[in-house]
Amino acid sequence: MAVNAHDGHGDYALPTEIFGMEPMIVAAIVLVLAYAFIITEKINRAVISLMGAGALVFLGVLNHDLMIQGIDFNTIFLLIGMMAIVGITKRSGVFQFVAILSAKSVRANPRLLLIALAVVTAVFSALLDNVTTVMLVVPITLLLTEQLKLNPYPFLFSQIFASNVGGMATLIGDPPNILIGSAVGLSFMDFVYNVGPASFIIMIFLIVFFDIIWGRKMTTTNRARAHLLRYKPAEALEDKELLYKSLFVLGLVLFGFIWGHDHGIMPGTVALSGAALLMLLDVYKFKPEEQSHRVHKAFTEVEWETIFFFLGLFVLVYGVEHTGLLGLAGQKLLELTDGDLATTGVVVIWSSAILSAIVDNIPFVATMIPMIESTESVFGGPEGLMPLWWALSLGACLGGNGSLIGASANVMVASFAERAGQRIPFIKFLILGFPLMIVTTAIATVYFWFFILP
Amino acid sequence: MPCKDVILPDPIVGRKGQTVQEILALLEEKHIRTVPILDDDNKLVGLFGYDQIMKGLLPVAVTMEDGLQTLDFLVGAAPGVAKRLRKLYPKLVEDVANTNCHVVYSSTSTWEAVRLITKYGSPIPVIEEKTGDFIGVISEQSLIEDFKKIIQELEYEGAFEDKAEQA
Repeated sequence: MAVNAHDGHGDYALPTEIFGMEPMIVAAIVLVLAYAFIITEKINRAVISLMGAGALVFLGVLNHDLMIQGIDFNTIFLLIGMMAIVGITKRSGVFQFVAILSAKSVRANPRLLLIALAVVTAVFSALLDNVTTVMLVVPITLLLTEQLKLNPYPFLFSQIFASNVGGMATLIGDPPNILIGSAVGLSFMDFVYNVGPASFIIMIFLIVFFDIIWGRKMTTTNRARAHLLRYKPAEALEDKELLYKSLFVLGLVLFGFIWGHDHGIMPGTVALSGAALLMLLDVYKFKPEEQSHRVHKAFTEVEWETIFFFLGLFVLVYGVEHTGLLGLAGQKLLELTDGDLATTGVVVIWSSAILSAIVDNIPFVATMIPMIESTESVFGGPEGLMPLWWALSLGACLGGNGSLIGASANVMVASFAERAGQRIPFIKFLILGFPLMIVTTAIATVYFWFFILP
Repeated sequence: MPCKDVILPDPIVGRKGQTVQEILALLEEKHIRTVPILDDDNKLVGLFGYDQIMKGLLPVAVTMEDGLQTLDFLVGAAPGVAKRLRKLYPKLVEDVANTNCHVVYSSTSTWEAVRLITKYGSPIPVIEEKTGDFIGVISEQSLIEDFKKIIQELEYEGAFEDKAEQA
């Protein structure tokens, strides 16, 4: 290995050959190996992505400066900020409050409850991270279904779909959108206008579908319903003062996302500043020791495993991008579609959907972004690429529904179900989930064709 | 001092195959809170007591990891909770017992046993290292009793007098 001398700074010169191979080949090998380990799920994905990122630097594919350059700190800050905000907000009990209130508002009717909880999940998912949403909704769902003596499976299944479809509607709703939005500089409202309607249409379709196959057949006793109707949602609100503070900050953060886009303020900055403001409002009247305790607790709500997975992944993908491999793959994609935007868009939707069902959609989208970016010149600059970003968002978010491992939220629901002794078998989910994902992707393709393509 | 010196060798035990109702009657009769549950080969199955009964009364949505943190919103639940207790009665004790309980071996130090009791509660089952057989329990009371005996022995030997004189 020809290693060049450097002066101790991070921008040292890189070797042109590694073990007699081009850096592009070495980067591809590392990426494929990392993907293989991530897919098999034998070893924790955060560890794999960090190992892969480290390997690229140690092997000389990237130097320190390039490694830092590859990390999308806007995404990292956005994730940390939102996780901390939600972590503090959930202490107020607002999420249980909304779920119980919706159950009572449908008079504990199982058929309507299935719809109500799916809608609550979709709305929460649009405003919060999907994993967080299902972590908040699933326990209360299990309680309500136990109370009404209902099989929780239809509820959990519908919530997986609702979280991925609802999350698709906004910049912050689903990790693929955060990645795309951050890389391309898309605003909160860009997502609401372009993929929001698709999310809405698909949600309506799903509600009707779930009602036909499950909802209309659900029955419970009047006695069980009467029990549930005696629930007092207001009692679920643990801390009203915190609730007001949280809603104030959440509102401010959403406003910040919309306003900040036109003023050069990145969503990551907005989210992290919002988290800091909520921590301030939460701790200012306490003594320093109690302040430290509360702030420490807020930071423990951040899923650091996910954050480090993203960190490693950014470096991993940047290594491959830097060597020109993804540009090459982009050219192959263009050859396949003859450089036609509509065909490329459809290929992006379907390949994203199918592959996202098989592998975690986060690494897939992280790899696709530079690949699509490399086709910019063919489609007439950044504006011309816009339909492809929406195609990627539609495909990756919907594809996550295709299997129990397609998205992190699915894995979380499955894990909760198992803890509650209601294991969701992988195949059972796949048999209905995959065809349903194909149908929703077909709806998205029609939407793409008529409403997104210029 | 290893655990085997402070062990309560012949504690009241429950047997695998007994129902929750039977064990509950045993707890009430003997005025104890927890019993070790053993199988036919004298191997420990788990611990069962009022804690497990209380846990069994709660919905799984609360007892599971990352489950609900509050049930304030459930109103007028007393008959509902009582019904859940009734449902627990016929269950086999091994299905409800804490099978993940902490145990100590006969050679474990007494310090460690005190630490475990402080952290996880009393009693702690003691297992014979070589055979894996259950040989007794260590409880807060058994420990204190043993320590009191040791103090008496030390007093008898005059161990504290020297210290007092030195002081």
